Amino acid sequence: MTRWFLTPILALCASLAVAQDGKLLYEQNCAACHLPDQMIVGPSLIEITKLYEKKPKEFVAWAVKPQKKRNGVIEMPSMAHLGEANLIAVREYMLSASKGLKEKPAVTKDPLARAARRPEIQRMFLPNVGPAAIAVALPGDLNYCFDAGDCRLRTVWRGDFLDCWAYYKSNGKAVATLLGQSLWQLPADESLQKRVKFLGYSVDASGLPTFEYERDGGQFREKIVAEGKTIVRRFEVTTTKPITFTLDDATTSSAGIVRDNTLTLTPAEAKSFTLTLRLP
Amino acid sequence: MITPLLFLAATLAAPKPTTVAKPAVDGWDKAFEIAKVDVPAGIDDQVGGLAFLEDGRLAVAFHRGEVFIRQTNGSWKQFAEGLHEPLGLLPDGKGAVLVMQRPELTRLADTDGDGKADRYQTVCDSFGMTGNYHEFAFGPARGPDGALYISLNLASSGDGIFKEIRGDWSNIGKATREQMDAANKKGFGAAGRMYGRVPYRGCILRIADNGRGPAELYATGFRSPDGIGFDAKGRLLVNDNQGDWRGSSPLQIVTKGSFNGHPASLVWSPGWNKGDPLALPVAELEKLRTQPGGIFIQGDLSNSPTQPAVFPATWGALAGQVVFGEMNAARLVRFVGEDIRGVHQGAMIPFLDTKTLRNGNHRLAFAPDGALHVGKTHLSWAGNNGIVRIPAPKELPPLIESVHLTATGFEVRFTAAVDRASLKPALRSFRYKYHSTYGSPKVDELPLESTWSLSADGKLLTLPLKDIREGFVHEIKLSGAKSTDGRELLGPVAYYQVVKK
Repeated sequence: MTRWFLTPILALCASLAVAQDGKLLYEQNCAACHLPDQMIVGPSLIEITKLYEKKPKEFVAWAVKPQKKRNGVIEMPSMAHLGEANLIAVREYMLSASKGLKEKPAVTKDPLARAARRPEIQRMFLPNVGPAAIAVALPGDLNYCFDAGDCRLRTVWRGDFLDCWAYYKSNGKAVATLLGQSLWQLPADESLQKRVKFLGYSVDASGLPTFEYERDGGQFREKIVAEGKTIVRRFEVTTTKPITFTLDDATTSSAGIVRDNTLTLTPAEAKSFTLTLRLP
Repeated sequence: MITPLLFLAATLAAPKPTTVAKPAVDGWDKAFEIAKVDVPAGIDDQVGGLAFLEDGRLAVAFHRGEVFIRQTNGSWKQFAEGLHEPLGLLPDGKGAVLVMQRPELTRLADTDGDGKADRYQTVCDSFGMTGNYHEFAFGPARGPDGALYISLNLASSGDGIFKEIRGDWSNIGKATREQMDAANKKGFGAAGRMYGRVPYRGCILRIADNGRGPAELYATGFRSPDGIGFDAKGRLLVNDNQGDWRGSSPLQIVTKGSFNGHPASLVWSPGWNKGDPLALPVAELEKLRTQPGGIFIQGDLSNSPTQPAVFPATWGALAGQVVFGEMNAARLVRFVGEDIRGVHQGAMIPFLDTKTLRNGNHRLAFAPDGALHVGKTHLSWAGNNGIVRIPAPKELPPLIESVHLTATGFEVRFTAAVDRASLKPALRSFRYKYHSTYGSPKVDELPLESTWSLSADGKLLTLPLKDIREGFVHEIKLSGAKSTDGRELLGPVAYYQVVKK
C-alpha cells in the first residue's frame, strides 16, 4: 500500500475521533464560560483560536495551570482533571467550532443600569472606605456612604449615585464607581472598630434609613438628610457618659462644646442634636 | 498492513476520555417535569437564597440585593432591597426572613404589616472582611438546637485586599498586609492560594438562640463552603469546592471543634500555636482533619456542589435523603448516608441528570406540596439564572434508592425491580490526594470484582467485595441497567466514600 492513500484515511479517522470527544468535553467543562463568538466570563473560541491555533502545547499548559492574565476577568480554574489527551481534543474542537464566526462585542455596560430611586439604599464595595459599606441616594442629587465597619458617615458625593457593573461582572473584584463629583471624604480609622457595634437600620415610609449602633457604650440612632448645600445628621443618643466626636472643618454641631476639634456632649445634650456638614 | 497502522494512529491521535460523564438522557424528562418559574421583571434573576415561608409563599433573594415574595396568585412583591450579594435566606417567623449578605447576617422584618421590610437588623457581623472578592458568606442554617450556623469563605490569591479592612489582621502567613493590598498588584500570590487572614474566614460560626446569642467559632477547615444545611437527623452538612486541599469537592459532616481539611483557617482555632498552618507537614494535617463523609466526583458528578435539602414525605422512597445542587453541570446529586461504627458516610448518586434542568443549580427548597424549587446563579463563573420547579412524581422511576455498606460488601437497593440480564456492575475504588495543589487526579485506582446476586424481587443487588478500602471512593457503575418493565435505571452510578468499614 502506498503512503498517498494511507495518509488521508489516517487524518480522517483521527479527526473524527477527536471531534466527537472534544465537543462533549467542551460542553461539560468549558461552554459555561467560553462562547464561540463572544467574550463572556472568558474569551471566545474565536480569540482562543487566534491565541492557540499553532500552539497546542501552550494551550494544554495554560489549561492545566491557568493564571491571572486579563484585568477585570476572573482566573480560570485548572482543567488538569481532564488530562493532556482530552485537552488536546478540546482544543481541536474549539478551533473547529470557531471557524467562519465573527466576534460579537462583549457586554461592557450594565444591562440593568437605571437612575437611582431616591431615596435608595445599596450595600456595596465602594472606593476608599471599609468593605462593609452602605451607599444611600438622598432625594435631590446628593449621595453618601455610611460605613458599617466604623459606624461613620464616610463619603458624600453629588451625582447619579452608583455604577456597580465593574463589581458584578468580576464577582466583586472591583469596587463600584461613585457617579458624579466627590464632595467630602473621611480617612480610615480602624481603631474605631473596637469602640462601635453596628446594629442595623430601620427604613421610614419614604425609604430613608436610620442607622442604629453602639459607640463607647452609648446607643446611637442617626438619620442623615440633605438640606440645601448641607448634609444634616440627626442624632438621638442614649448614654450615661459624655460622648465625643472628632469634627472636621466642614462640620458644626447644634450642641456641646468643641475644643481642639473634639466635640463633647453631655448625656442630656446627646439625647437629640445635629451635626451639619457644609458642602462645596 | 493497514489495520495495525490505523490502529496505531488512532491510539496515538485519538485521546481516550478518562472522566467523560454520559450525556444527558431523556429518561429523566419522561419521569420528571421540569418547568420554569416566572421571575420578577427587570432584575438580575440570579438566585442567592430561596425558601418557603411558614405561610407557603416562596421568598427569594436575588443577586443584586432584592428580596421578593411570590404571592399566592403568582405575582411577585418586593420585600427588601439594597443587600450586598445575598447568598442565603431563611424564614424567621411571621413577616421576617434572615439573609446572609457579604458583610453580615441580617434579619429583615416587616414591623408595620405593609408587606415590606422596614427593619434591617444586624444579627451577626462578628467576622472579618478584607474586601477580597472571594470572601463570600453563606447560610444561615437553623440547627435542631435552635442556633443559626453560617459558613465563611477564604479569600483568594486571585486578588489582593482593601487598604481598609474589618476585623483583626493575623500576622501568620508569608505575605504582609501591605504586600497583599490589591493596589500593589503583586505579592498577594505569596499568601497561599486561599487565605484567611481576618477572623473566621474558612470557618463555620454558630449563633446561639436563633441569632440572639453570641456568635462562636464552631468548626474550621473550609475553603468555599457554599452548601450548609442539616439532614433529617440533625447532622450539620457542609460541602466545599474542589481546589487547593480539596482533591474533589467533599461533603463534611461537621461537629463542634472539628477541622475539616483546608488548613488556612486553623489560625483561628482557639489557642493555635503551630505557626503557619500551610507550612505544616501534610501528615500532621491529615491527622487533625475530619474525613469527608462523601465526595462529589469532579467531572463525573459535581464540580461545584451547593445547598443541601432534605426530600419530604411526598418523594416516597427518597424521603429523608439529601439532595444537593451543582453549579457546573445540568444535574443534582443525592447523598444517601448511614452510620458505620460511629461515622456518617455514604453514597453520592446523580439526580435529574438532564439538559432540561440546565446548570447553575444553587439554592434548593421544597414547597409545601413537595415540589422541588431550584434557584440558579452563575456570578461570573459557570452557571445559569432563574428558578425551576420539579413536582414530586406520582411514582418514582427506576433509581438507585440506597447503597449500604455491609461486613462483606455493598447492598444496592432500587426503587423498581431490575432486570437481571441488564445488570453489568462495573466496580472500582480510587481516592484523591490531600495536598496544597489545586484538585487531584483519581489515584491508587483498583478494579474490583464481585460475584453479585439480585434478590428474587429484583430490588436488592448484593455485591460481595474483598478489597474494601478505608479512605477510598467505591464506584458502583450499573450502566445499561433496566427495570423489568423495560425502563432505564436513571442515575445508574453510586460513589460510596468508605471512611470506616
